[in-house]
Amino acid sequence: MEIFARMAEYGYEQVVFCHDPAANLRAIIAIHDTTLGPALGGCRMWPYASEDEAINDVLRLARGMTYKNAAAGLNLGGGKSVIIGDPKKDKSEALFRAFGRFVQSLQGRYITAEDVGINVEDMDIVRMETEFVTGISAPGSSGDPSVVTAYGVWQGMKACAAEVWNSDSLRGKRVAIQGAGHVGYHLAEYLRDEGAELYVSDINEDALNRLVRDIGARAVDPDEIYGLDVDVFAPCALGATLNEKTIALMKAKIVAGSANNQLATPADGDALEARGILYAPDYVINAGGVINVADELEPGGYNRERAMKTAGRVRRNVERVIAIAKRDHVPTYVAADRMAEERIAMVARLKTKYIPAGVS
Amino acid sequence: MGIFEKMSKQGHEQLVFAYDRSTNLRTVVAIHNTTLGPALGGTRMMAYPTEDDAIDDVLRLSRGMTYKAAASGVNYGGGKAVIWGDPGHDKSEGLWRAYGQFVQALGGRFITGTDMGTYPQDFVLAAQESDYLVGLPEEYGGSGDTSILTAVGVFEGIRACLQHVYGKDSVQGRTVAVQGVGKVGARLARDLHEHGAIVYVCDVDETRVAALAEEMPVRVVSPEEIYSVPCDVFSPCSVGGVLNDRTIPLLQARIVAGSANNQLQEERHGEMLHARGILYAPDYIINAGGMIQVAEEWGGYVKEEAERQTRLIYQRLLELFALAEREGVSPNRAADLMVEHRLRTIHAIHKTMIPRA
Repeated sequence: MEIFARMAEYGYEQVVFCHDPAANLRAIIAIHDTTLGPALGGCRMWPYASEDEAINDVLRLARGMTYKNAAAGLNLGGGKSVIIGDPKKDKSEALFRAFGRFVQSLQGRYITAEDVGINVEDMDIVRMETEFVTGISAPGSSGDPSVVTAYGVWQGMKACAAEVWNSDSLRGKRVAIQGAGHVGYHLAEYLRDEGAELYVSDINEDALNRLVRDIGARAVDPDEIYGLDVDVFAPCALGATLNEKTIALMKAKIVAGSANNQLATPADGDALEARGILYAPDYVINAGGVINVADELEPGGYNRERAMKTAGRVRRNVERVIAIAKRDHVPTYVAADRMAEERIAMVARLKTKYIPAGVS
Repeated sequence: MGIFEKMSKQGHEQLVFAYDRSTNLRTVVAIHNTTLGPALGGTRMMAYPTEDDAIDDVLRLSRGMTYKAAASGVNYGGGKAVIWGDPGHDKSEGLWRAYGQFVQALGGRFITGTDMGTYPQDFVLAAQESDYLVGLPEEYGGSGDTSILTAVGVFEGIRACLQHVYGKDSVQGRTVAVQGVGKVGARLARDLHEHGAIVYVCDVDETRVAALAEEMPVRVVSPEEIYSVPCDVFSPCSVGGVLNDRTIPLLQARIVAGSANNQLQEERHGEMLHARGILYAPDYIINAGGMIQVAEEWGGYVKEEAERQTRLIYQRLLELFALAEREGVSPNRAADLMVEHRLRTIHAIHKTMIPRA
């Protein structure tokens, strides 16, 4: 693997290999871009088959965070870290403390959080060695982000409705929610309160039954969710559910949900556009989660009310994506990247003016 | 071989890649060990053929710095940086300032000075962005040219070797063959001559030997003849790897003591010298004057203190030779033992929590 060739391709600032044999730690921290501020991104623990696989993953994810944080309107750059190891077998106090010391050594240029394979208890250990952690269990923690994420998705969906139907109301609209997990559940609550007609699927029967019982949605088979005669399709489960096969089945006019990496390939974003389906880009509409955790970094610590208010910005962000898509005649998934890049370029230009230290 | 495998083999803590698109800066910092304190090491700029060459070089050199710093008694760990680029073509204000920013981003875990391909003037540019650069010119608050103290340390080291072998540390009347009369070698030759030694010199650059020969009575030999000059001390002061299977049998000296880095082509050549009854002053101990100087520079340079520390090389080598005899090992092996012992000890005492303001 040519590290510098990879870094040059997308302008990564820094890649840090962290090694502590006594703690059995092998971790990589990637900082993609800090134009907007310190790089915020989760730490993932995974039994990567090879070092190259770990490098590829951390680079890809770090860059994704640059776009996500920029599109969310946060003053945070993009970074990510991976710990090479099996989360079921290789966790220890030593491992997470050693990792925390390396995070601390970057002096706040990188702020970590939990991601796949890592839980709040692990982050509490990391915090013994570094102040640059979010998503911990201590008082002042942001806690479960799913209601904030769901609120942002709901707001983003309303921006799409305004575009498609000239009214942001979802009253009477039929919405198919794929996934009855925490975010799906809270999204269903918002939509029910607004008077939407809900369909939901999940492979987890318990979660599905709970949502059906509590909120009154109609349960459908996981395979049927794509082809329902609905107005909005909301993917709130796994990634890559928008693909050649599923898009062909779709009757909805809007795709707006909380899942990460919804498009199996970029071509699927083009396919949605070609079919006249308005796609709210995943990382723009699901930004409530990162907005919620970033609120911990605000002066005075986490405030749920403020986090909800900030998540309301998702609506403006989706509107802006739609405007850029029209301006440049590009699909929305391309417009989302442009929105992020334009914001980073704007802030970079601002920074050309010299301001004496101590003035903020 | 993967990066973590390489780091594992040599015990590195951290390897940091930094890239800057606008200046095309490509740099790798290796932090080998910070048991004693922030990692100290030079920044080398070189047009490495491949990225792997750059990585291998920075890993190897940073480990050497851990040993060098630990053996010299300074409170620094070992690190090194390489900038992958052509020092003749790729330098710019932007590159140095981007580099300075990146060194700053390491927050003081790495303190760096000049090395091959980098000059104090480059660091003046980088220092605009970082607090962690040393080796600046005197007019910028730095300690200036490090070759002076390096030569002082080598001179003291030669005296220690003479003391150990002959029971008398004066260079008066002794014969010394100096290989390479660059900045350090030329100074050393002058010092030796002034103290009454007979000095042989060679250099691949004939203008250098010619200049020195005009100034003082030195005996000039060819770069090939230098190894077999009948002398008391052979003093390698140019490139590394000069002590090897071919050259060691040629040596007539009782002592090898010079300023070059990595004099032994392989570790086993230290054993080979030992078996031949030639006393070898481990390179990283005898040539530490320059490093001691930049270590002193960080936190406010006091010239007299740096010189005093450098002169301690005399005592350090005598202790090392005594240790080697006690343990029945070669001096280079004894040096490793000494370093590893110091790292273990300091690590152990730091386990205790002591509140400090």
